[in-house]
Amino acid sequence: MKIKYFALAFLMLPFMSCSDDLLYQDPSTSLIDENIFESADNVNGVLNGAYSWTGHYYYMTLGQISLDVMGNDMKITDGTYGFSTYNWLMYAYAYQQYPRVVDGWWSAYSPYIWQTAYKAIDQCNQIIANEDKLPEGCEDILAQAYGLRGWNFLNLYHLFCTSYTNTGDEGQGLFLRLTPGDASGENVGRSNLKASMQRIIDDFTYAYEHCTDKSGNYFMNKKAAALLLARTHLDMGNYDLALDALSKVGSSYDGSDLMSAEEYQSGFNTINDEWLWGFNYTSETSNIYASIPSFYYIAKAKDDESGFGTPGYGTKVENKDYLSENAVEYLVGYGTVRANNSFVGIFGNGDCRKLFPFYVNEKDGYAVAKFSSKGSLGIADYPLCRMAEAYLIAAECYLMSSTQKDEAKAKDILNKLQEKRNGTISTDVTIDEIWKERRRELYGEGFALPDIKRLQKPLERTGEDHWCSVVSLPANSPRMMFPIPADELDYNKQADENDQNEYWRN
Amino acid sequence: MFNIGVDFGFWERFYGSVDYFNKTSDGLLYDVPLALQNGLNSITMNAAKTVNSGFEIVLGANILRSDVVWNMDLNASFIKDEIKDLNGENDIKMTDYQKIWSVGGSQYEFYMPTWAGVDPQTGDALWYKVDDSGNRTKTNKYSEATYERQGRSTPLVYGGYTNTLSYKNFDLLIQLNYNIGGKVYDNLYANLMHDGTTPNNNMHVDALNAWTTPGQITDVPKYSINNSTSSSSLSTRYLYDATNIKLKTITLSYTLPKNLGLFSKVVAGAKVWVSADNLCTWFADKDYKGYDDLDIFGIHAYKMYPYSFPTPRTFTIGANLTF
Repeated sequence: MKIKYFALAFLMLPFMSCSDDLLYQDPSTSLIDENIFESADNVNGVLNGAYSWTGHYYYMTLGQISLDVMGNDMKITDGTYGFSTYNWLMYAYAYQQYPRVVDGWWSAYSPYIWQTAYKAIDQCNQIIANEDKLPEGCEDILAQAYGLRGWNFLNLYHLFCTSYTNTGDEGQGLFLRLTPGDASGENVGRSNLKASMQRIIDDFTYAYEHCTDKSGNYFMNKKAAALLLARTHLDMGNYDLALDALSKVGSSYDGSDLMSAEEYQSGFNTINDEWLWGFNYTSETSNIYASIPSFYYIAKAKDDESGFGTPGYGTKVENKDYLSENAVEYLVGYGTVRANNSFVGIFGNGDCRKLFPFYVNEKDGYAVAKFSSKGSLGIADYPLCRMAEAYLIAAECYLMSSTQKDEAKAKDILNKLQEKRNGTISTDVTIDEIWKERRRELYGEGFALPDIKRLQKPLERTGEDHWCSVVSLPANSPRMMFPIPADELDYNKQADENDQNEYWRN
Repeated sequence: MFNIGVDFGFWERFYGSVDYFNKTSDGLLYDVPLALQNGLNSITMNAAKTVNSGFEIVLGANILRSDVVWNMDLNASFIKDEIKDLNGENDIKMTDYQKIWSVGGSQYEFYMPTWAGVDPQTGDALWYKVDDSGNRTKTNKYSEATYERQGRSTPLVYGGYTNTLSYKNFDLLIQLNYNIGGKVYDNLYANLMHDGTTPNNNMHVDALNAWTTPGQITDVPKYSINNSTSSSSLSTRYLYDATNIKLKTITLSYTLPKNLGLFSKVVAGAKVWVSADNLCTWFADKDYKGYDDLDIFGIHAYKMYPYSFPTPRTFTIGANLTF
């Protein structure tokens, strides 16, 4: 009898179906559109998503390191001196990039950078485009979303555009996506630089005016937004507007708001008072091997006797094995970024920023100890803007402004920074002298290529340690950027092949 | 789905069937590509339509039916696929499969630059560049090379050819599989012929043919450490005709007679055999050096399929005893 019922039930199986009620259609680990605006906490969750994408290694690591190694001073080892590159970043250094992956992911970093940047922008847009639906208590969150979107647009400008100082308002700008992503195919085309820079300025201005600074300097805040606004104006050659923005940062320009030499040397991995905004990599938010310290750092010194200030600092080590046995605070992931020999030469000997502890081969360049991890690989803070930059922008603006020109003041501000770093004191302030100081102060922080473009300098890579075939490019070269990813142009009906950057146009 | 077929047989010696089918699939799950500014590169929707059509033919013959029994079977499938709709889009580049999807075309259509050999004077890799009016010139800049349709990865016709022979207690089975037409991209070989792009990686012995001297005729470009000319990048340099015939199985078996005295009292039936699988494959394209287990996408070790393993050649000895 029992068997009969059992068989009957079994036979009925095909006629049963699962009710919709039994299927949970909402994801349990992420927010859905409907509940985003239920509370400020949920909105903050969306904002954290934007930060998370901003710091993603597809973007922050590839983007920031590329901006340095596409300049003159930093490079990627060629992989033959014991540190394999696994094709990370070396083809950015070599200026060998395509709009789409042709063979091996490294042939096109830009789709990774671009898509991840727009993921961050998309999360900001989710908040900004729904401004009127936000619940109580979201003022600071909204302001941060503006500021973070501004940073991402500015970063995309550095990575994908010609410099405003060269092409002016009509240069090819950004794809100013200001609404959340969807499947409708309603995309935006490429704006000119005028509209693009204005968007960035507006975003930072909103952030400056509305940030309430509840969250601290791991997040977008008032002062950071003001400094980024100054950075944007400097990028455009608007010295007076940059000075105006700097007044909102409020530096004393006496060195008291700069970190000490010891702090500068302690590894550049922990946020301090000089940092206006830094990214906080935790074990949850960091891909340890693809983190920024993983690519930069090898060790603090090659052995106990060769610390900073000793004759052994900055000398050759025989091989990688010597390092694994003797090096101080040895913690290497890839360890493939190198400082070019000629760049190391522009530092005075006592300069606390001369953090190039050793080299493996004369043709390989120097290891860089500026960015280290906090004990565990990839766990670190990474600076996104620091007060020192305000000094450098101010010096340049006081030198270059036609209405507020004050060379003595420019020199004084520059000297204050140099004193603090035990650096070489400039006696004569020129634009090149300030640029040189920017390189000393800001290397590894994504300024090398943007400065070359902004100042309309040629790419001039000197010395045998530059192994790639691109050792020079004329000023304003159309190669000093990444290609727009083909997957943007192919599927965006508001864009066509003419929106590709010149060098990659067919 | 439309299907029509006919089975036939005559003289009790020959038999076979012919089938035609035509199947339209609509609302297929398809990753509709999005402009990257949406923060996503695609969204999965029920949005594609394809038609598969073709003939399937079986021909068989009982050639000998006396002491020696010889049976032969040949089957052939001619299958063609056609894309009918891609959510209104066209010419979608399927980078992960190195294909292009076009309405009216096949979803297995290879799409890549066409290799034009090595410049004997400089050792540079060359590709074809096609201008708007269709003129073909050679270029040594990979970024200038023109992507072109290179044919399908699926064969024009494929099938098997089986022979079974029996004589007294012996049975012999020989099975051949064949594919005619279709292309295969050998990414395993491409990775080994990197021309210095990935200097720490292993190399194929063919890399010794790399260009060294002006005037030298070779099909391997010059080698340089951290080669950034993209000479080893995706192109028809590694695309081959996949036409092949494979000796899939040979089995020889012997059924023991039932009059083996004491043995037959314990064992009611016994059969022993030796068998070999995947013995060898002949490719029409003599330059092809890759594995012989081709899949429908024809991309060995590429992107979506980073790991490829060869099909093992197996030899089996067996016995089947019935008590």
